[in-house]
Amino acid sequence: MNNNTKRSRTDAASRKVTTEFPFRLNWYSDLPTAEVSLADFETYALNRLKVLKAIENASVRNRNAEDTKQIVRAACEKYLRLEPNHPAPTPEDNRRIAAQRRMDQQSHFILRLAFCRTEDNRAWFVKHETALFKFRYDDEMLSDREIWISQQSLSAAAITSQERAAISADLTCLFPSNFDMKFYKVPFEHVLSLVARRAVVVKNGFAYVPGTEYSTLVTNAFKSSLTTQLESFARALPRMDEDDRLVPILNSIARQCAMRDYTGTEGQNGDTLTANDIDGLVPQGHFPLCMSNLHAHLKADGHLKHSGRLQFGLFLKGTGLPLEEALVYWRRAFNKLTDDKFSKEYAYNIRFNYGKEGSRKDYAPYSCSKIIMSNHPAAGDHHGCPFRHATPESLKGMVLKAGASEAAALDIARLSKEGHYQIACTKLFEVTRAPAIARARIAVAAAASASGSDAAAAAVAAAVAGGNESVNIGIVDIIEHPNQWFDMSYRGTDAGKRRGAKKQLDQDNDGGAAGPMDIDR
Amino acid sequence: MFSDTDNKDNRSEILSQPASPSSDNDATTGKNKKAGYAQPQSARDLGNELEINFDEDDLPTKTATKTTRKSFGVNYITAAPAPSSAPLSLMLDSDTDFLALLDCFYRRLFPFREFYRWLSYGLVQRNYFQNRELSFTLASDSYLRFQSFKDGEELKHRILELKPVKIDIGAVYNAKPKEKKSIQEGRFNALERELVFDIDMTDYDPIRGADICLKCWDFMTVSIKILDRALEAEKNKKDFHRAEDFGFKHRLWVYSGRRGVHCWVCDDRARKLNVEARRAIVSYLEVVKGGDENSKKVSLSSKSTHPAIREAEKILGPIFTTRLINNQDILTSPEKYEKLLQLIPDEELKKRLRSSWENKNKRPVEKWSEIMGETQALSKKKPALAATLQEILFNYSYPRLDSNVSIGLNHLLKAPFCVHPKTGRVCIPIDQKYCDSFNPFQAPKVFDLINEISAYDSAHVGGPSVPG
Repeated sequence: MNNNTKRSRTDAASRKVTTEFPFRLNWYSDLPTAEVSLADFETYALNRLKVLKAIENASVRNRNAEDTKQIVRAACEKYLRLEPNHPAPTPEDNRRIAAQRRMDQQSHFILRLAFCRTEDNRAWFVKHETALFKFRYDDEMLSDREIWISQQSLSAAAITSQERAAISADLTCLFPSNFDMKFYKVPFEHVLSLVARRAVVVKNGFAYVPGTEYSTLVTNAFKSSLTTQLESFARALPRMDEDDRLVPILNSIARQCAMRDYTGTEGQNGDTLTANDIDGLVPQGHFPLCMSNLHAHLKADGHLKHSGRLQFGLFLKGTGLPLEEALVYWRRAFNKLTDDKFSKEYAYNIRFNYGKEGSRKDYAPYSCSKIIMSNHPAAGDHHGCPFRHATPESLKGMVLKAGASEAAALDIARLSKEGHYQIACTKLFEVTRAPAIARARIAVAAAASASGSDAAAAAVAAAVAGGNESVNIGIVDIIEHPNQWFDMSYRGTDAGKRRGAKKQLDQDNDGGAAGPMDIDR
Repeated sequence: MFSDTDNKDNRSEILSQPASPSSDNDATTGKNKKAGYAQPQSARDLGNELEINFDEDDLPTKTATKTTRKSFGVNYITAAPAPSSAPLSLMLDSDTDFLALLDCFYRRLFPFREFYRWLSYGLVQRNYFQNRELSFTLASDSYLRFQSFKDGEELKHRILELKPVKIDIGAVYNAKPKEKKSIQEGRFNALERELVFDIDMTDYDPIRGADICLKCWDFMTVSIKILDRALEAEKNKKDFHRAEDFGFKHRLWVYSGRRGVHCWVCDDRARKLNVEARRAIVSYLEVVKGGDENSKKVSLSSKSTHPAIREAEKILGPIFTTRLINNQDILTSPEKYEKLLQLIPDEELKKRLRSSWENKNKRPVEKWSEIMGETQALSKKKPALAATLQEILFNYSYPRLDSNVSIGLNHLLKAPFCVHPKTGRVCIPIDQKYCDSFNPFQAPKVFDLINEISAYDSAHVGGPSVPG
């Protein structure tokens, strides 16, 4: 990077496109130096954010690789266009390309500033920026990619034939036909995702990465460099002489990615639950399948393992069960324990969940993506997402028990099998809960119509239509959080929707960005 | 009583300070190093030999050797006269008795010196020991987390004072854990910890016979063999072919005192692994996955085999067919073998096997060879069956890890050489080379150990004696 003067930057830039940004791919190791207007600052950031959101949406919905590519490509075209190098560029081409690449760089660094401050934000940003990088890397022309790679200081050398001979038995075991494959030897820490899948031979602390997985190597290097850089940003931020005008923008940008997290019990509004309420709520279908399953096991065994306690306990907290009631509830549920054992071994964790012990953090109930992606249940565990973690047979049993018809159960089984766990859950909500909610709405509307108004009659008609079981996806938002199910079911669709809608509005007012649901529609 | 001894110690240390010039220290260091290796330590007395081989670099620095010599040499090796306040009963049925045994155990047997030497890792990093979290469970069941100590001396003093029924080892933090409260939230972070594994028989409940007995220990033996192979470093530089997967040299296996084993991987590289790396290693080692809602917990590829799976299979195969299949009720009653049949993805074959077994008194081995024969014959036509045998084998014998303990950097794990409060057995190291001969029912009980000491003391009148 050098100090090109700010005023005449466009011309200088067009000439410098080959030196400043010779490639589409960018390791983002150089800080941007050009001047940006306040308006551009925000626009750039929001545009990039939309792309990252699109990536997140695709992964939450478990799209397959090809679909994800399409979605990301569409979002990039729209918000973050990056043209490849032209074989014979005109000065006009060069100017345009330089501007695109500069915007890419600047938007990346603005989001770094916005997302470096908390650990959750950093993790979110790294995850999706890495996915974006991987997409672009895979998408890049081979020739450009190879030159770019050779310029980065990450080249791992292919193993020699001697080394290869020494481990050939192992290589052949994992890759039965490997004659024409290249292998790269790196410390196993560099390719953790491959180690985790047992997709590489690991020998004496080194992983032997096949050429087909070379992109994983590069992507991981990108990820770890970004992680360290974000951390150093976070450390530097308090000491930075930050412009007063930027802080509000950065804050609002960072808020964009936060889903509703259901922290804090709803107690403030006066509608708290008590320990006595919980068991009654389950047969009424107010709990999503993952929670009613945990509840069933809690009742049957008088115990839940740690992860199950966390998932269920935090969910209960999100439903509006205050700490004192939670203690009562769990004490009764763990009916095989002595008071003494309970208060010594379990009460701590419950208070911990409510932020009264340990790091005193107000822990948020787990979202669907967290439940689906992390901490897979092991033997003796009942936590997790039944649509993801249960066998088809036991899932079917649970779904039927929840009150779905055979036909709906088949549909749900298919959705789960295809990896659309949250859609399957939403479907279950629609067939089991929506009719009941609609009936409740009819009752309210009927009461209103008794007072004799046309509007009320129309409401009844609408409610009846909504109550029809054949009504398909679209009646409710995709379930993204177990507490969303509860709120929609227990507090009534209207309240839930209104709250959701209000939140959407807040977000739009904050930054003008699309809500999490809008991008791929 | 304690304070008396302490004062004396301190005084001797202060007095000896000017008398031992630095050149003298140099001369004695070598001797001490040797002594450190040669002295028969209680580790060996208690059972198998402690298997941590420190590299030359890992040897305690001069200062460390000096302190250990001064602080532990006197107190530990020659066992200073003990306080006579707690009379020692020979019964183990009340808490006070257990506490008295513990008191004696900590004073006479607990290897403080080695414990400190281990956790200070040669004091290459100055605060490594001081920033380490230890936590104590007391007999009153109160639980003291975030304890930390200046050095081995302070640790020993505190343990003798509190007599914890359980000592847990946590992570090394960026500050002293005992000062945690004065540190701003979010600024107190775990930096390093040994890579640990916790295998407990409870996780085998779905696949094992009803009683816990020596037969079940086969699961643990197999676990040690498989995990230790995967973690192991090359044995011999010339013989690269023998090098194993992760290349860790310093692996300590410990009996958990009841129904499990722990493993501490202490290499520098292992201690520095972040959470993601730990998760990846666990996932690499984990084959049995899924909760109770998932009956098919093992899925292996039929097209290719990972070398780690191949090696594990070599270890599992013989034990499964010679021992587990007979000892663990796997193929006895219909309700047992139905569970196994669920793992076969072919309805016809299942039916055939069922009818062949019904009402006939076939031995488990016969049933197993039927399964083997049938699946192997069919697997050429039906690729779905190619990995079935392997999957069954792994489902019934592959190690089941408590993954959370391994992944979380700030998770606690019971320290080696604790006494299990329920069984009274000492958590002794297991030499992985001879894990076949380890018998948990022969692990020393604190009660017996103290008796042996009493017997020794009374036979050697004039020597240190146990009160009571």
